[in-house]
Amino acid sequence: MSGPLRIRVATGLLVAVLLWPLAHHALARNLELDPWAFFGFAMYSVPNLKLNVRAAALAGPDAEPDWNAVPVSSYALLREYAEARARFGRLLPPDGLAAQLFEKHPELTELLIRVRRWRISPESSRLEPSDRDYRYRR
Amino acid sequence: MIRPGWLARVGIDDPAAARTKTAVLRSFLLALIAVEAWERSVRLGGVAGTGLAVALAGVATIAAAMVWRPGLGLVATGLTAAVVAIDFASQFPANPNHQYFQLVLLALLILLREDRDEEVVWLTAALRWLLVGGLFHAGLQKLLYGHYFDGEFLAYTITQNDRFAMVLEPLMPAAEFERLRSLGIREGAGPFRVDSLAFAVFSNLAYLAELVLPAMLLLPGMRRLAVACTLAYFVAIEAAARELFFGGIMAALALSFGPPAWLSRARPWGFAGLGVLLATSFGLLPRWFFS
Repeated sequence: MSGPLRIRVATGLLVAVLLWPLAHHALARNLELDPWAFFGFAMYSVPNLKLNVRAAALAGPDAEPDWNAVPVSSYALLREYAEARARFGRLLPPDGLAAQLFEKHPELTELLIRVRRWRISPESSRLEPSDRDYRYRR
Repeated sequence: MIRPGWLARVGIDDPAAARTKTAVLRSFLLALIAVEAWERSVRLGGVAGTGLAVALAGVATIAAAMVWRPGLGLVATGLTAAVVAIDFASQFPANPNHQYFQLVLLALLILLREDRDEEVVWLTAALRWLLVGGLFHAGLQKLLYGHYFDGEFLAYTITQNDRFAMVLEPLMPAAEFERLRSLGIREGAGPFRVDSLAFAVFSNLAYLAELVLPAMLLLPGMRRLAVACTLAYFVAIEAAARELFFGGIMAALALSFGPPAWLSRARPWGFAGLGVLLATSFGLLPRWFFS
C-alpha cells in the first residue's frame, strides 16, 4: 500500500469513528440499541436500566395471558434473550426465543413475549416501564 | 501541508516531535493493554476460557517488551492488535467500550509509518482528533438524552453505585441523599431529582465541560489550559467511574497536545500507574479504587 493510500484509508477510519456516535444515537433512540455499548460515547448519558423479558401462553386473541404457563426450566432462555435484547434492541426480535420455547414446550400453541424497558420519565423523573409485545403462533 | 486540511486544527507536529510522541504513546498503549490482559485473566481465574486469557496476556506482555527494541515497534503493535482482536471477538457484544478505542488506535499505529514524515505527522494529529471527538460526543450524547439538566442521571446513579454516591454526597442535603439511596427499581420509583443548586450545577457542568474542552483544544492559544483542564476532568471522572484503563489512554492523548517533553516526562508516571494496576490485579494491593 502506498503512503497516500495509507493516509486515505486512515482518514476514512478516523472520519468513520468521529461520525459513528451520531449513527449510534439514532440507532439507540429508534431501535433501542444499547447506549452503553458499541462505542457510541453514550455511557453515563442514560441510566443503565435492566430489561425484563417475560413469556405467557395465550388461549386466543382476546384471552388473558397466562404468565405461569412457561415453566421455570425455560427462564434461562428468557434471561439469555434479555441480555442480547438489551444490547441489540429491536434489531433482535424474539423470533428465535419463540421458536425455542415452542420446541421445548409442545403444549404451547400461542405465545406472548413481553419486552419491558425502563426509563426515567422526563415529566415526573420517576421510573416508568415501556412494554413491547410480540405474539407468535405455532 | 496536511490533508485533509481540517486535521490541522488540533495542531501539527514537526516530524521529529511526532516520532517522539508516537514512540511514547505506542509503548504506553502496549503496556496498558498487557496490564489489562493480566487483570482480565486473573479476574476470570477458574472460569472456562482462562487458558485463552492467560495466553493473550502472555503475548501482550511479549509485545509490550518488544516495542522497546528498535525496528520491532510495528511487529509488537501487530501482535498486540491480534491480542485485542481475539479478546474482542471472545467478549462480543459485551466488550468494554474502550476496547473499540484501542483497536482504532492500534489500527492507526499499524497503518501509518513512523519513518515517513507525512504519515507520522498525520498520525499524531489523528490521535488528537480521537480525543477531541470522544470528549465532544460524550458531551453531545448527554445533551441529547437530557438526563443531566435536572440531574436525573446522577441521582439515579447514586441509588445504584456506591462510588458515585460517595463522590456526590457532599453536594446535597443529607435527607435527600438518604432518600435517593432508599429508592429501588420499581414502577413509580423516584423522583430522581435533587433539591440542591450545587448538585444541579455539577450535573450541568459535566456535559458542558465535555463540549467546551474539545473547543478549547482546537484553539492554539488555549491549548495548554485546555490540556490541564482535560486532565483535571479525567481525574474527576475516574474518582467515581474508576475506569482507569480508559482514563489512562485519554490522559496520554491529552498530553500529546503539548511538546514531546510532556509525554516523555509523564511516561514513567504512567508506567508506575500501570504497575500499581498490575499489583492490584494480582491482589498485592487493595482493589478499592479499581472498576
